[in-house]
Amino acid sequence: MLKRLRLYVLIALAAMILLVAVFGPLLAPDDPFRIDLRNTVRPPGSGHWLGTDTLGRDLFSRLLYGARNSFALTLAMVLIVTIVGAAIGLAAGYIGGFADALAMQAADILLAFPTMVFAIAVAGIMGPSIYHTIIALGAVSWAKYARLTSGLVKDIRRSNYLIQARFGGARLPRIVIKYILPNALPHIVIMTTLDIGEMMITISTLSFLGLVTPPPAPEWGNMIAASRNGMLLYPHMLIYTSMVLIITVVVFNLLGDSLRDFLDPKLSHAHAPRKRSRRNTAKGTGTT
Amino acid sequence: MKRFLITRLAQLFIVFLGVSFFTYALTIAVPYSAVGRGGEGTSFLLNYLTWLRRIFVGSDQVIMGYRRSAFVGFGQFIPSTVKHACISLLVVVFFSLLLGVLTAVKKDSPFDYVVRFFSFIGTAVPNFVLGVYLILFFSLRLKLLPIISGDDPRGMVLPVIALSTPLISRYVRQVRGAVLEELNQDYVTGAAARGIGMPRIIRLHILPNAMASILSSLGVIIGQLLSGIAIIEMMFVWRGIGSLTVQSIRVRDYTVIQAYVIWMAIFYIVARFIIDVLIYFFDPQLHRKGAA
Repeated sequence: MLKRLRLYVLIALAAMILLVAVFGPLLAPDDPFRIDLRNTVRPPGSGHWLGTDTLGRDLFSRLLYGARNSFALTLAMVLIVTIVGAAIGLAAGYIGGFADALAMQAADILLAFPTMVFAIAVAGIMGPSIYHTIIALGAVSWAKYARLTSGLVKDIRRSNYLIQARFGGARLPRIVIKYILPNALPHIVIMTTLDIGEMMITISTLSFLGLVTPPPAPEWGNMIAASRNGMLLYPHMLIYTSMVLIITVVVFNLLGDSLRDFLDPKLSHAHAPRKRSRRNTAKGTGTT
Repeated sequence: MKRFLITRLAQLFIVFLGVSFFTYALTIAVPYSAVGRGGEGTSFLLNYLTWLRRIFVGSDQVIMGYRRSAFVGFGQFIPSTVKHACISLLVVVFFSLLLGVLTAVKKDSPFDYVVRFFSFIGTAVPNFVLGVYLILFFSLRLKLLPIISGDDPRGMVLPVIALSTPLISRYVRQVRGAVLEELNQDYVTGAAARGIGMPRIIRLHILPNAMASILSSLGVIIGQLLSGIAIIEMMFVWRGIGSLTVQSIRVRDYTVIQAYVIWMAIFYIVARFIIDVLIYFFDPQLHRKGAA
């Protein structure tokens, strides 16, 4: 019961954050692009809820618009990676054999590949842009989902109900839709939710380097970069932006965690064999 | 055993080819002169091979004042990065193993909760944010540690902390999970019942068995380490290839960026290979499969 409650609370929090991001423009008290050089770096108060930045733009509005950009990019990224990765994993797991071995080896190597290096290269050579970031990150991040899905597919295929379904003459689309997907989906969704936080961090790191959106566009990462110069004199820029970023990531990480805790006991571990220690084979452990 | 190594090497070589080809292919978007391709008619493959040769062997192109191959001229910044990376890696591995084993053994103790709490925060804070705050507190406010320094070891402290903290946070969880899984095994209860002390059990049974999954996770952590180095180098003005590359992006020095990717790919491949060899040694099942 407690798990359920925790999950609901976190879903509510996450939904609130998302709503703020979506309706940002309506909630923003000021134009985030409006430069006001007479009021630069004011602390909070007098019409600006969180103060102004180095060009006199309202920080609160910029954070809201930045939330929009960050979320749009993060969610798009996570969805693309999940769908592409899961599709590849599904195909590989179902076909099996050489295709699967090949795909899994490729995924294995790509899994640990430094994503940032690639994104820096793409953005550096082809120019900073949202699309380039999506391509770069997507090209490397699909591996995790492919591996997961392939394993799941192979696991599910061994289960009794699937064998019986095939016996009963079920064709491929039906098998996939009715049997494989519903059983694989919870695991995939958990991984996706946990990934949101990480993807947000990656994207904000890239925009910190200025590789995602060009200057006037507000994005939390490049706002943090811009706030570095005046850290000592006007810390409010840094503090508010970084707090917003951290809190958002924390909420989504907690959401992923509690989703996993909630769904996990329900996920049957029936066909996972009880793991025997690799060194503890039938011969038994040697005396120590 | 040899067969395994050769297969692995071949795979990693293919990865290297893939990465280098992709990096080269990116320059399609760029005007000819900047990248030094052949005339309009030359085939793509030929250009690729020429480029590869140029990167490794050298050319007449003057790159940042060094009349050598981008690969080599760039090379004088590498030791700095490698030093930084190795130290961070050692710190990460040491603390993660230590904390991971301790929290697994003392599961659900206050210590466990505290470590898990901090590890959770650690995964949520991006390394550059941590770096900025570290600079703010320790260098600017308290004036304890320098931001920029040459060989002064105190100059290493902040960048290493900034880089390794999120990684330790992630890795501690993996280590803890792996060790917990072993702890739940029957043989542990059996050994404890026979009166064997916990440290010994950990050292001789649990760790070797958990090694396979610990090492696999290490591969991912190393990837993230290599990713994060560029930003940390830039922030702490460390003369390594990461900060060099970030600067090169601004001036559109493509060759440097490409060399950076190639070098990073090489580091990654070498690290990956070492880890795979280690996994092989620790997992007897692979031994058997290989011998078959």
